[in-house]
Amino acid sequence: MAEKKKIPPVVHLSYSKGELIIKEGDYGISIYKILHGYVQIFKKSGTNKILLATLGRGEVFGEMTFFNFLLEPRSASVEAIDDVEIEVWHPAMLTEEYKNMPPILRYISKQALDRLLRMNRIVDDLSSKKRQKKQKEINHRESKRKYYRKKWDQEFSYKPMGSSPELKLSGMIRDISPKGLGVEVAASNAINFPHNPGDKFEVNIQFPSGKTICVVAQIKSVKKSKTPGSLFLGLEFTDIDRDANKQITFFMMS
Amino acid sequence: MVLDSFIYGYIAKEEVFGPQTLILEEGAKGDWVYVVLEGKVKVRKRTPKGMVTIDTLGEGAIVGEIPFLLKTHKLRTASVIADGVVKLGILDKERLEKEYELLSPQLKSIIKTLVLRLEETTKKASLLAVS
Repeated sequence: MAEKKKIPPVVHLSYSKGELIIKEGDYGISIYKILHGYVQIFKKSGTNKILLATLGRGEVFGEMTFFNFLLEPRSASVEAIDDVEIEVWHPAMLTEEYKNMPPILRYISKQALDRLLRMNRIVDDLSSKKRQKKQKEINHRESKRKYYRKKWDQEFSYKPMGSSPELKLSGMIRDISPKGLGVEVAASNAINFPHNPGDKFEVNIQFPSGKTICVVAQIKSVKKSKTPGSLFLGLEFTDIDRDANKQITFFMMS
Repeated sequence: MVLDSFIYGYIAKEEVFGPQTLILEEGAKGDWVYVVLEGKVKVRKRTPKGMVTIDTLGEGAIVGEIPFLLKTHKLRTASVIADGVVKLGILDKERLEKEYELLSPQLKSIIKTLVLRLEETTKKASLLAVS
């Protein structure tokens, strides 16, 4: 090295396994270099932890804030995954050095930064498009899924969600599938209690085996029934436990 | 983009390439740094599903800086192809290197990390682009 240079101040820190070194969203200015151990870089998406990278000895993190000139909060969290020793650089002198370095080197670094930000955006866009496409395929498959409906004429009782425990409306089940029921109820039931698409009911179903289940179902469709004075409701189960599901499956196979 | 005048001071040689010429080849050895003086170049990456164009760079763009700054392998991380006729300036590597070496180890590490992230993210983007 031709000239003697001022060395920016350096601090050493230790972290134990599981300790958070950087928290996403915080404003921080330090840059870190790993001397010993490993860290994990991750982002939070809702309740999910998305692992971005694992870094080890000699690697640097927290540098994005340096290039953003401290305008942006930390873009990801960093956690120690074993006992970690870290060298912490305060960016003040480094920022000074960066500003004063030969313009060609600043020019090259600036372009690399711009390209990195552009690539990050491309990765974000492409991965969210991919996620949407996948979700669309799942939705499509779900909506295309046809359920066998078993014809069944069976009396049942029901009541609007959250209504008084004594209340009991009744009707006739006409068909059943693992996803819901087709039922016929007296049109007069709808005079006192709304029967519109989206309305939820607690439904009691009794099987020939004597077993009774209680499920929550939502109106998907309301039609006039062939039977005068009756409505035909398409109900979809929205809250159904494993046992109820099993009972329906058994019944459908019988 | 108007080229900053200081860049001309670093240009050791100028070279013109015809349309579709392969200027840099991914995986080949080399760490000369170029600047686009006229025209455009395409940056292409190899993926298991074939080549993908990940970027187009115009006048003033620096090309080939990744192996120069990484120093670890000196291999081209992407191919660069002339998009039409293109004129490139080859930068004086010795001078560039001398100036880079004068930086503090910390600043060098930070720049190296930036370039490393650029390489990783470009790779990720090209894989996503073909999937």
